[in-house]
Amino acid sequence: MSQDAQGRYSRQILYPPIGTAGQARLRAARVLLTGCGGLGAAAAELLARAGVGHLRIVDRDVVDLTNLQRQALFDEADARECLPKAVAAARHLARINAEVAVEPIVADLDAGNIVELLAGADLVVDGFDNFEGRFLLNDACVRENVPWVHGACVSSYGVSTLVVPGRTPCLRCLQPELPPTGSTPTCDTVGILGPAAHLVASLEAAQALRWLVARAAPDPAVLITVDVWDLRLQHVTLPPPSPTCPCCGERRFEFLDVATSPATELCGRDAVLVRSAAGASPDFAALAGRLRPLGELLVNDFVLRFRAGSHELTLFRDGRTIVKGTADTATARGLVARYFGA
Amino acid sequence: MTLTITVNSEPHRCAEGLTVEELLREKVYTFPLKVIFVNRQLVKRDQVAATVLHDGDVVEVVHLIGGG
Repeated sequence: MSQDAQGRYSRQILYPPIGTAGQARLRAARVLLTGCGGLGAAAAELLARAGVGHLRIVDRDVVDLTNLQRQALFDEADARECLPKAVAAARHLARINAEVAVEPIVADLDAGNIVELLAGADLVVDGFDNFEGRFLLNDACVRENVPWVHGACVSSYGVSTLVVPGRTPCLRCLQPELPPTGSTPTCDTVGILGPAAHLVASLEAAQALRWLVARAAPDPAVLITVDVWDLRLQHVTLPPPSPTCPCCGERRFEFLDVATSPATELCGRDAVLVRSAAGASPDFAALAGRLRPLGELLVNDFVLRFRAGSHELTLFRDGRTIVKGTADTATARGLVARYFGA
Repeated sequence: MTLTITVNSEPHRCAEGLTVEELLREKVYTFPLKVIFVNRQLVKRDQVAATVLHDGDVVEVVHLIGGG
């Protein structure tokens, strides 16, 4: 290890369970972060500062003013420029620790790409903001035998546990069925406190570092819950993996077989994600020429944002559009067809 | 006869024969999706109504949430 590296990481090398050998393991490690919002951005920063060698950050959205209350990696300029979160995160992380290779991927994780994006990862850090993503990730990680750190938060409350396939219970051991859309609170319906998101992200990062350094999972498995308003911390000892679990017990990976729907309501956000039938690489220049007389337009290297009346359409390079101002999938698809011709 | 059980680390007095389902109704929790452990064993959803609590039982109620 170089003199600089010894200096930069000296305070965690002093911690005996990490030491010089652990630091070298962190440098060699590859982590996938699924989502770069309240949890993903904070966890990414902790892992980058700790010297985890390679971070692949996948996120489907752009930085928005409503993110800045808790997502400390981003700033007003990112929101103004309408930068994708993965790209903004990579830029900030490069200034924090240039030794870390950060690979930003602006995409929606789905059954069609998750296994490919998981390839090579030593561990996954859960930064999703919805159950669908986590059930997909759980299936992919159990099937491919990759550990993942679950973290989730809403309001003042958060939960975290490390899932090591075959050794600790997986998400579906605890909750076999996907909760129906709209049946559970989200950050957009009941809010989220910055300290709750940061505390859960810290728990995720700590479990990630411990796994990467020592391949150590708590035995027996543990689930932590926190409430930062009532100042409660709960430590629950988990049972062994369930033999009747549809995922890790019976090895049915049904979420990897789910066909991606053409449009998904983004719960509580008055927004819809519309996937293009036409595929990737829309021609931003041609579209901009056509749309400029019709409404307010912003174009950068990553997105084209068009505002007409009460609707705002953000088109990504991979052909997806996030339509704000409606929760109705048919209306959203109609707007995409009308303005983007997809 | 009353029993004393522990619910999320706090003592809780209840009547004999109380089920997990009745306990959940009695304690009003904020979030709808709950995972329940009694004495470190997971109580499956279809067993919540049939699981009777006994004196000294340790109950943990955890919320699963979707946000992030």
